[in-house]
Amino acid sequence: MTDIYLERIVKRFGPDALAVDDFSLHVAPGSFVCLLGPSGCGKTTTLRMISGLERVDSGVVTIGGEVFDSPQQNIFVKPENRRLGLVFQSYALWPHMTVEENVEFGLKMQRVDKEERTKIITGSLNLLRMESYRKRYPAQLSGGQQQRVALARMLAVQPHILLLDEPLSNLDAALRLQMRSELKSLHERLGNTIVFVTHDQLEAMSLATHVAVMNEGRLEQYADPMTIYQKPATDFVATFVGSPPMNMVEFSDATGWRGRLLEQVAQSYDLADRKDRIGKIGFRPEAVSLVSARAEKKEGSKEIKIAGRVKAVLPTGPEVVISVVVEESEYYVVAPTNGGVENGESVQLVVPLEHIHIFDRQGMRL
Amino acid sequence: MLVLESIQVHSIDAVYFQQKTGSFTLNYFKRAITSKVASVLFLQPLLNTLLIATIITITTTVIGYILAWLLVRTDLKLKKLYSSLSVIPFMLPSWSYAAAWVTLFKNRKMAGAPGILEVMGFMIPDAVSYGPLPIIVCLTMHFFPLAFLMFGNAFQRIDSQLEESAQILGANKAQIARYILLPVMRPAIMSTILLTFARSVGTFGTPYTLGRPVRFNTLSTSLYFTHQSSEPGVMAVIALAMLMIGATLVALDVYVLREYRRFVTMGGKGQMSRPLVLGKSQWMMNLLVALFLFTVIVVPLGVLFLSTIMITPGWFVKSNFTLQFWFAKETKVREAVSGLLRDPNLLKVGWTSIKVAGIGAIACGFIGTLVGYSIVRLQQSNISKYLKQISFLPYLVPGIGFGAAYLVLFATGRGPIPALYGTLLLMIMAMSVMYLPLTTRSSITSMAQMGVEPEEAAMILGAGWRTRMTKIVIPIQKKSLFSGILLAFVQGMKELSLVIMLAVPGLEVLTTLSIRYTDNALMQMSNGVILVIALLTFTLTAIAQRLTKTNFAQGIGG
Repeated sequence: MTDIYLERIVKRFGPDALAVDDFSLHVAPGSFVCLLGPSGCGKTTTLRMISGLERVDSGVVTIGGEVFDSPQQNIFVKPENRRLGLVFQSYALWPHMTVEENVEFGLKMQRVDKEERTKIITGSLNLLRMESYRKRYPAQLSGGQQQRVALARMLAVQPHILLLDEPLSNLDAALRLQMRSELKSLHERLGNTIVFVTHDQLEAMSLATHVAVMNEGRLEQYADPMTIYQKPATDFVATFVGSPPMNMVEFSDATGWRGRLLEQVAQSYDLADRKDRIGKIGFRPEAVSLVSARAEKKEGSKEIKIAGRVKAVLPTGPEVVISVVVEESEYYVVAPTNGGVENGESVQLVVPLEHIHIFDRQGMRL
Repeated sequence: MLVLESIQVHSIDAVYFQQKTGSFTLNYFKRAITSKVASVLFLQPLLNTLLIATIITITTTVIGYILAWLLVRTDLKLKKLYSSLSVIPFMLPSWSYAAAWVTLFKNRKMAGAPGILEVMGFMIPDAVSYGPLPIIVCLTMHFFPLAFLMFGNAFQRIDSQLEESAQILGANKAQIARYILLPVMRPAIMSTILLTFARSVGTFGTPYTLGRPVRFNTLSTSLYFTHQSSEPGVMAVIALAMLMIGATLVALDVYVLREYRRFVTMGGKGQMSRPLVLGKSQWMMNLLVALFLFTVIVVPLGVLFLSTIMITPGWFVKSNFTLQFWFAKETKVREAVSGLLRDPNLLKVGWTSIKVAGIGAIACGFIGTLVGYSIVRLQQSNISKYLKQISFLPYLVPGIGFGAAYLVLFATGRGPIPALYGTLLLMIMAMSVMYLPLTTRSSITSMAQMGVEPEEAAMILGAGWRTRMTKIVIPIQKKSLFSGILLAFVQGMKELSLVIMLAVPGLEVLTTLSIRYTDNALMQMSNGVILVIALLTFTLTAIAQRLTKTNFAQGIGG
């Protein structure tokens, strides 16, 4: 059981390229942490700094209670001496070695004797159901199989910490789902600490015990998946997590229906005196119910209402996504059925007040 | 054809052999392999060739590998500049280094102006002036860019995560180099070895310039001498031997490719190329690379240039400097020889060069486009595979052997084809086949990039094949076609090995003219011609790079 401490990590690639900015994170022993964020947000760089493939410019990396990288203390432990596992997005299997030889390499580096090696190889290939492909070369394997070998290669050396850099993004949808469940059960069986980088929020939500949402080199929120979804700490997290994304009403222009809405929200949340601090409100598409504009207008204080016009009805199978245009903004509604609304129809978006997220002008949750 | 030539009695030998012209004989083989002159004519040259080709291949591969690694995989400063400079030696005519060497190290054994170092008071032993040692050094300097380019391309394609995975698993730098990089690079190493070996076997100018004074012969010089002394039968035997070496190399190449296909480097999303940080050795490495490039570029070119403005090279007094070799109406060192730029013959020969290389290159470009088109469109079929192999064949066939084969094929009229020996057409034909691999390669790449859709769209709109080629395919391929043609043209301008067999008095190109000057002990003039060729190729390459915005360097590597 090993934990990882990142304290105030900074990494630059050149004067104008700040990759990671004052980033701190504690990865608890045995947890499965996802670094989630759009491309270029610094998540892969963070992973590479944990592995030692990249050095931090300032800050401290501590793994298992031992300082591994700290420019201030002039300490740096090379990646080959850190004894952790890292699976790359491209898998990076050595094309000139068979499956078996790929898995064996790390054991050879650790001077494990031949007999023991064979046993471990068989064990880890069995674990990933690749035993029958021992003698194949990587080029003779499918993407999913290569992915498994890449995992087996790192698992064979039994690292306490396993780092995964978008390992599923090269797989097709069905295979990705299958590998997700395999990764999760693997984690439950082996219990090692896993740090997983992904830009796919669904992957992060379904796999992780904790999600660290990153944007532009900074940590936006670090919490368990349900908290991330239900109580996004910033407007960035709110819009990045969830599909379709959270609907946002901005109050930079607080006139007309927006002004009325702002008034209502401020009143109900006891924010009347801090009204001008409210920057925007958000609500998840599935929290909205659609009511036909012709329906009886019942004034309720427990919900907000926004009038608009249906632009498109998009059935996805299990549910229907309805896009509604309100003036120049477009909002999404997710419902089990289209509820009889049609294109061009005038409707009202009805959102219960308890499902509204309020953010200040800096985008922080209020 | 060559086989026939080597076992049939030639007309000039009919009386001597007391056999009828065209009847079967093994005399030529006997003469080349078992007779008293065999060792001079064939066996010793064969051994010499294999020896120097082997050593050159090793030195070239090692230098090219190290240089490519430094310039591609590390954070060496100025690496872009070094990369473009590294290609220059291959753009010089192949025997430029030999010429520079002779200018520097020449001793009394040869007539004409003395060598610079001897004038300065050094005694140069034969072994340094001539023979295998300088041949190996000079050809290494000329061929290393080839290896550098091939390794550079290969290094660029390697995902640096391959190395990082090994590092994570506990491998140190040496272990990564030994167990990961070297094996992954093996296919590139094999093809580099084959290509360099073929080029070394087929090259003529350098062994001719440096080997002749000490009677050190290779197959290529021996081939030339048998041609000069009218021994067509023996010549055919030697050419046959060279083509067999070429065929062996091609077979090896096919085998190697098949062997390594199972572990082609896989591309994919998320590949990375992160340069190795050199750190403390940065300064050292920069110095070494700069010094090396200085030695292989500035020194030889400087020596060549100096020699053309001095009456006695190396004698640094004012009265010794002269521009007569360039501008005089009649040079003072030799009667009836005018300065290069005043020589009407130079213009004529230069024009021939441009015609041969130009027409050859254009033919090459269009044939290459068609071949590339067929290869890409027939991807799955066997025809595509064979076509590919055949069109790449000239790459591995030694140049002078190729020239000899053309000579034998077309020396006399056969059926409807008239005798072409001594004609421009023969040279152009040889040239366009020799450089076909260059244009085919670039055509395959860009055809594959273009895809079938533009053509299919035209097909749907009712365009026939010819319309599609002329209105769609070739216009889209314009750029790659153009750069392919220019590349072939530049190579053709400096080609010697191929045309030396086909040139006759009255039909010379720049390269053969330079050799002719060497034969006449007019070192300054010969060096001057080399500089003219170098100037031409540099300028054209620069223009072409500017026009097409492509890096020529990438086209040369196999």
